[in-house]
Amino acid sequence: MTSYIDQFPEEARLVKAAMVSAFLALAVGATFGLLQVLHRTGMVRVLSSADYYTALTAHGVLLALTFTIFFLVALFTWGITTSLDRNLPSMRFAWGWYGTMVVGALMAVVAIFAGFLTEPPTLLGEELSASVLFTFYAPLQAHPLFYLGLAIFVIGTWIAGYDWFRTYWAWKREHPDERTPLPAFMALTTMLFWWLSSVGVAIAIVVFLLPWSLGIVDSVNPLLTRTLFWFFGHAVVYFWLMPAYMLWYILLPKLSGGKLFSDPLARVVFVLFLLLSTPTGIHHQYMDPGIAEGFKFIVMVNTMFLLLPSLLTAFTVVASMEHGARQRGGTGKLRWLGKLPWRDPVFTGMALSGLLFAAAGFSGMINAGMNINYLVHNTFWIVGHFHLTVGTAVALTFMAGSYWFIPQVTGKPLWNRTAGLVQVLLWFLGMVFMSNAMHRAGLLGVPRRTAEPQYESFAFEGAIGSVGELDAQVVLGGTLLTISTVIFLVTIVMTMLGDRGEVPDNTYAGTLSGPEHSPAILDNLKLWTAIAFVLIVLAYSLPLAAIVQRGGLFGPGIDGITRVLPPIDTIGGLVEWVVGR
Amino acid sequence: MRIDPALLLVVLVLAVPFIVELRTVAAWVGIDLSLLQTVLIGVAILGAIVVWAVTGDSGGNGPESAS
Repeated sequence: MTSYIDQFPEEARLVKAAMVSAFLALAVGATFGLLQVLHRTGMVRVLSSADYYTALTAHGVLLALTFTIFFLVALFTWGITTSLDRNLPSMRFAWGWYGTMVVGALMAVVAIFAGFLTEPPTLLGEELSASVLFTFYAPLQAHPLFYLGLAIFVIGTWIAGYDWFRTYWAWKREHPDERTPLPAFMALTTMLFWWLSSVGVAIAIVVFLLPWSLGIVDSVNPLLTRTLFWFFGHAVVYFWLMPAYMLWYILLPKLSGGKLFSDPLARVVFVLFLLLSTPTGIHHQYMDPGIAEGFKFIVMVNTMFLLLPSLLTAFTVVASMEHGARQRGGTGKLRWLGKLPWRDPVFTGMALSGLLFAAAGFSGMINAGMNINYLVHNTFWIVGHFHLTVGTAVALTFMAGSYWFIPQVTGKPLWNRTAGLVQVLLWFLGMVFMSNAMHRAGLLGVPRRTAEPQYESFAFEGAIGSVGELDAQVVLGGTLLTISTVIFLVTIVMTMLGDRGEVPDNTYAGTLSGPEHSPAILDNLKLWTAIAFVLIVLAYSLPLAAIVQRGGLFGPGIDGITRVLPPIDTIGGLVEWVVGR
Repeated sequence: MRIDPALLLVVLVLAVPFIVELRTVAAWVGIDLSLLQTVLIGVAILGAIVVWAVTGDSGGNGPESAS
């Protein structure tokens, strides 16, 4: 029996550290989730409504960015090293990108948490605060530390990607005629679209928001920074989701007792996400004035194409599970389901998260449709939707996966499998209650992003049941999710505190149809990246040009660089003087 | 037992979304259910699933015959 820590002891420490960072973010972020649920429904109000945005910012940044991305860098490090059977080139370098991410995350979190203080400390001449949500839309302004922290965090992920690529290049030099192993292919394609898309948020932060928060420029063009955010903002959804897909493709079939139905289909899926993840971001801006309907329509079409890889995934993963069940002796049209390893929380958690992702796909189609989106855009519906996607398809898969990975990186068996099973079932149950009520409340017009969803002299009326009943359902769901999170954290801590013992082998699923059945061009990452780049240019060049033409780089009628020009003039004069001599 | 206890738990959990949406479906056909009535029907459905699961055998598809 060989676990990951036996094969790659140095990398296992790094993977464990990144996962623990993710779990810390989960613990704090989930606590804010419960506080928000209790506050919005008026059940228990620990925070003042004025602090609600700060809590919401902490919840979003800690869960949607920190928890997910720390976990996925751990997962991709595991995937690259295991599938290429190769160490990272330099552990000092690897700890460097992990440290960069930690520093960036801490800077952003410190800025957010200072917002809870009645008298926040002053830094760089400004009060420390960042109550701007994880979307940080201007004109909401955060302290520079927040923007700088996020930028450093993203740079850490870029360096991590470079680390994986150079590991792959070294492997490729030694194996020029071999196909890229599937987990490595998945990590690399995901990293490619992350690089392409996060350029948008990097420009938004470094060129506009950070100088604005430092007082170097007077203003920003809010539509431009929003558009640059969503340039990255939809791709980040897939940056979270691709690791979950990776686990569904390479672990679920193995746990089911069989093999992956089709390696080529999995590669096609990841190539499609590389192509289509970024040129779809404007679908988050259907309600934004200032972007022509025609551009939005093109983006809607792109978005609908994205359903294809998800449907391919559903088919391939379920087919692989059926194959596994039949290998175990399952028979009949549906009775084979009984042969699947439902006692295993790793399997059950991932299977249930995939099921709820199907529901998220349906509500996602509604969000993606321009005309229907108008009905739900600023409502609680959207919150229900992304709690099914990132909050379940991603988070539940990561938690279930942790029950497999923590034993791998510690060499210690899972503390209590029953606790793990109860945990994943409670998460499913809690999310069903909570997201269902959120979707239904959204249909009534109940707004999102507010501590006070009720208005004076106005009451939302439910066609079936009352708003009070929906609130109770949200609280019930949120409470179950909190209990589930506590069980998860206890199980992980107890596992890590346990003694070393027998753990599963560090292997992933074989394939029924392997890479030899797919054209070699699927592995041509340069080609797919070039096409992805062209698609991004086609989708974004005209809208961005129109936004800048109409509103300027720094807002209508504002040159925005009054504080920058004098020093540049001085430097320019100095250069002229030197050249003139 | 017809199905594995773990699978029974999964089936019970999977039944919950259907119970939650039962009121909506019933309203379509002109039946207005109160919250209490929905809860009672839900408990009855979950109870029926438990009774179904603990009676009868797995027909070869239970985990005990897993290879």
